[in-house]
Amino acid sequence: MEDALLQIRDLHTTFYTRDGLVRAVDGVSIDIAAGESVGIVGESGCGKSMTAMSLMGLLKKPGKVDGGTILFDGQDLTAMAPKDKRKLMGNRISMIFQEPMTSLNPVITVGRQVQEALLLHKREMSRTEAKNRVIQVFQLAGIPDAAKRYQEYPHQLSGGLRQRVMIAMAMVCDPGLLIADEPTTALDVTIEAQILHLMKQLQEEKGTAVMMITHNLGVVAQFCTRLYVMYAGKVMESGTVQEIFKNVCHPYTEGLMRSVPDMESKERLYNIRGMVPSMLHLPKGCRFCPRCQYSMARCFDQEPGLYEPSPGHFVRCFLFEPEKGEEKP
Amino acid sequence: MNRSEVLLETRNLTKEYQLRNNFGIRKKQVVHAVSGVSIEIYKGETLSLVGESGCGKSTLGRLLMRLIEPTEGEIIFEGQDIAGYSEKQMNQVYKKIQMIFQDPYASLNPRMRVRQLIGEPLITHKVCKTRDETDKRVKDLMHMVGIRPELIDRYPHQFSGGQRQRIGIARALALNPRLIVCDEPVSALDVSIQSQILNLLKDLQQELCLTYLFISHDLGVVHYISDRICVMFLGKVCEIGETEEIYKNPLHPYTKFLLQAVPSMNPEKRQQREHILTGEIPSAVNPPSGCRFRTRCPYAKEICKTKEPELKSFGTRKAACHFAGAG
Repeated sequence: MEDALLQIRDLHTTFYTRDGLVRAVDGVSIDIAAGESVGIVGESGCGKSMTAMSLMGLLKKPGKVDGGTILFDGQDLTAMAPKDKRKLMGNRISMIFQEPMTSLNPVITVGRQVQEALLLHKREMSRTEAKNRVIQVFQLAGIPDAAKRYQEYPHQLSGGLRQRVMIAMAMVCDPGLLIADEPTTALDVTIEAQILHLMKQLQEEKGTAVMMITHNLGVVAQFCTRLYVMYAGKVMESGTVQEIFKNVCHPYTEGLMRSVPDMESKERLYNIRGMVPSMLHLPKGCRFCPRCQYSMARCFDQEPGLYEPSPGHFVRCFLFEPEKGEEKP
Repeated sequence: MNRSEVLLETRNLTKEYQLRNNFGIRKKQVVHAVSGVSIEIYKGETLSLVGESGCGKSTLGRLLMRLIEPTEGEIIFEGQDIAGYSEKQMNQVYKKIQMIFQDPYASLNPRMRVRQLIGEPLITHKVCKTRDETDKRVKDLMHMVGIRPELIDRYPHQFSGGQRQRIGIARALALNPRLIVCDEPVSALDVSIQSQILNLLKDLQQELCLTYLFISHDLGVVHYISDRICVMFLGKVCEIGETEEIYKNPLHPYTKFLLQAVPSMNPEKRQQREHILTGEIPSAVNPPSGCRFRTRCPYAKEICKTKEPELKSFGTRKAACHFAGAG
């Protein structure tokens, strides 16, 4: 994509542990256009959060980005000086975390915590202006009695309200890209619906691009326009939500979709056999082949590339490799 | 399935927690965790308790196991009121009621081997006399839940989350119970592992004629596993009845909103704005007067404020709303 706001190219993030190298993110490429909402789906340990952490520069030792580029607005984040990066984070790129309970400071009022982002990034703003702006954003985020809530501490708010504060904090500087790491996983369904609705509304009003990291395919179906399915550090399938939900290609995505109980049928659930491999001992060849119901002999020693069965829909599986005859020279 | 035989019944079961101040002196406030719940669990069925956090579903499950002492009410299991049983008497009941817990990491003792974990109930209840007998039964159980019996001498940390949950299930099955209380058994697991455990629970039910009380907040999972569901809100039952009927045509407004709030897997069906429930769950310390749902209910009228709705029957179903069935 030419006009992408965010271009992740062949990103490698490795953890240098005592037991060996863990390639948590292994050659991931993701594009997000301005104003687009993109879902990153996968089970625990597939590298979806690590992709976001690498992007934000929040990796902890022994983790390290050791390959690839992350272009945001044409600037390479991996090569940027920490000082310049700090100007970008929380300002043009911001993030919402999964746990609204642990990601707020318990001894500072929520208003001041949100205000901090403004005072850091918008130096020309006075404290009073910043306060008014925060109250305005609180109202936008659907927090009732915004002026009163401004002075409250996190423990005085419910989980749903805390997540709204997190969203307000992320949106206060009008970012171009919002990374939401499982923003509704810790919330109840009715609150989840409220938060998703709010995020959608803010996204449409402000034209913010959203990277939605989740394990819930329902959330992706409702919220996103495109999605990337990750497994063991690699993108297995990508394309538009419409296309993938209608015409699923990769055996893993298919298994994932069929193992979620939906509310329409009571058919026996499909099981993906086995379990997610340890990142220290990945199987040779295709990473999914030991669990795949269609695996062939070559899956066990060759790694499949990305093939494009239909325009814009990419699949990492030999089943979709174009026939030799058809291949263009 | 035989729906005539009631295995367990609660009558007006209530649990209230006394709030105390920092010096341990009683305050006037009381947390109404479970208020006057009367439900029946039939033999061989799966009854699911559904609701959001704080609705009292887990408290109810624990009350049935007597892990929490009820404030008021009766628990009738196989014709006997076990609410007043002593610890010694309860030990006999625990042969017939067992529990599967939510967190497979916290519910297994990290210093015990699988042999001890699954074998412990067999020894304490003197089901198996000799060591060989115990080992044989443990291996049978491991086979039943899909763990290779060779792994009998491993510790919990050597297993993945899904396998640990299988060990938890084997432990619950060890005494051949009639009723298993499953408290969010799959919510800590990944999607692909979740489906394996759900299918295992279903197979075991068929094989061993088990009855499940299944506690969950995931409406998709509940639809898949249960015969009947019971929707709770703030310690009270809103609606109880056959799963299919409730999912097709919910009578209580809360059930309706709950079902609509679940993000659908079909991208064509994007949520409409009017289907979103506003507000948050009220506090269980000061529940609203009358109907407890009225502060969030868009259809609330004057009567909802003053009069508490009773659980009324509509065919095979019961719902607690003044306007249920009125359209």
